[in-house]
Amino acid sequence: MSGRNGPLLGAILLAAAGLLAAELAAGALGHGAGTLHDPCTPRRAATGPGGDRTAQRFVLRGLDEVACRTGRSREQLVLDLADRGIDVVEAIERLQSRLEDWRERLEEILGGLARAPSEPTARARPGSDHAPCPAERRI
Amino acid sequence: MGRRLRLWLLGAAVALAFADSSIVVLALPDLIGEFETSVTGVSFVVTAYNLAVAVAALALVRGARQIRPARLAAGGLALFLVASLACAAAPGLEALIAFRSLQGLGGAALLAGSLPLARGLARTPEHGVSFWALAGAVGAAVGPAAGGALTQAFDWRAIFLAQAPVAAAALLALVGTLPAEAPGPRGPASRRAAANTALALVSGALVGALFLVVLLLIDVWRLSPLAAAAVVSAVPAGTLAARVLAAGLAALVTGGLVLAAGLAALALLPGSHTAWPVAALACCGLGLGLTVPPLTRAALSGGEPAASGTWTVGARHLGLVAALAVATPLLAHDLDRGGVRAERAGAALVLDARLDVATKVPLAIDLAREIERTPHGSLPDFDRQFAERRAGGAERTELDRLRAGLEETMRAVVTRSFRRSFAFCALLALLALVPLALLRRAEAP
Repeated sequence: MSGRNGPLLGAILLAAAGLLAAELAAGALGHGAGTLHDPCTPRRAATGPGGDRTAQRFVLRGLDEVACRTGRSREQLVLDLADRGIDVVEAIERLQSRLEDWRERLEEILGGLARAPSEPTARARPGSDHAPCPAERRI
Repeated sequence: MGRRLRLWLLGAAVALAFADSSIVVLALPDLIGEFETSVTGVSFVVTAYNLAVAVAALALVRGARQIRPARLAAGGLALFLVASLACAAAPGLEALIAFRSLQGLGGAALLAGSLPLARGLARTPEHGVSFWALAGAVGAAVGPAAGGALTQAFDWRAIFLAQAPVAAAALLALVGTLPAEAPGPRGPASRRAAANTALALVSGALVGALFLVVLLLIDVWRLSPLAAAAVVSAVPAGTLAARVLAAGLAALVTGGLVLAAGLAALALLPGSHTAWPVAALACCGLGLGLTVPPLTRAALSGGEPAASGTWTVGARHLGLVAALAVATPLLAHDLDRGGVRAERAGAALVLDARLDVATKVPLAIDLAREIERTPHGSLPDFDRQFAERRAGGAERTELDRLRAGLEETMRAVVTRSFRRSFAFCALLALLALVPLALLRRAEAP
């Protein structure tokens, strides 16, 4: 590298190398690796009082054991279960929505049935103001 | 109209034609939303233009000699102008891609015809070539930032509307008798071939600095088009800063190395602070400024101006299209794998969160649904899932902590998915050093 540019070009190269060095020093190699804990090695249990947290610790330890046996990470195991879980939740929601439709239709039908006896009678005798007899009501 | 003004307007048109290679990149998310398409579908808006320029330029290598440069440039510019207006009014994605292809055909004819004109209009043919090469380098570097600013301020259609007055003014500059360029002495073809090969590789490498980084900033880091444009403007800043350095083989080699280092720095981003990509892109801009103008001059020197110009334009755009053809599927593949890794990392955070089961399980189901809804290659937005949960005290603090952790972790994991694509671009920049060595041999007495 020679000429009047030499020092400046050298400084530019040094600055570029310095940027790479700074990135490596800031942990670039491991950044975003998303490393997960090995389920076969014990992990520090999450702390917290109460029955809820104790139950969670118990379940998470169980998940670790199953994940270790099946050769998956605990997180992958949960995601696989969640895929099915979401299907189940969605099926229940669909069923609830259908039940709601049925309930509304049933209410309409029952309401219609409740009104049904008086209307044909009234139409049959326009202007009549007397109550229909039980026999007429059955018809 | 004076020669100097004509030259500047011609330079503006050349910069525009080169800027169009990457000008819509920051508008791609808007285009995806408006036309309800995928990243792959919308990428043709970029590829169509570059492919049309490359194919048309290489097809013009022989034909350009038979057509008067002013007529070729004016015809190309007129087509470019009409196609730009048509792009602005495009009713659908297919129409936009078709108009972008027409714009590319016009751009190729404009670039092929403009070089001999620049040689004739400038003080000396050498000045004309330098001016043309610099206009092209600045245009390519400014493209994404200009497109991002216009998209944020107005709409993606403004990108194409804004080009019309520049193209129309340049068209006026081509009216009337233009000085004929004087053919220079013939030089070795091997030198031009080496320079064009290096240019193709450098243009391919720039896919990382002009395309991939924009996708990263907007889709993964969720920057607004204007904020992303501000980050990407480090490229033209670096390109202009390189002007103070005199050209030479040492500057060329340094440029190739700095460009490769900048792209490697993008591959090795250690966090989501914008200072990292700004520094890396400044390196890329310096590399661009140190390599592209002198390589363009070397590719154009000693040859028949119209033919060598079309070779150069074709080589640059062919390198860009070829790099896109490799980098895009590589990135798509890595984003798939990154998405799975990000989901696992997110699951780890949710499992370990200090929340009651009654909060944790419905939240986890909502988050999983949002991930399913999120388009491929983008990060899910968990705002609603966390905002709609009524919690106070320690539970709210834990929810906020979880949300911040999820966003940071998923962003980091997906950012890592860009690593191999940036590394591929860095490799192209390093490979450009090989033809540079041949260039040195061709220069040797």
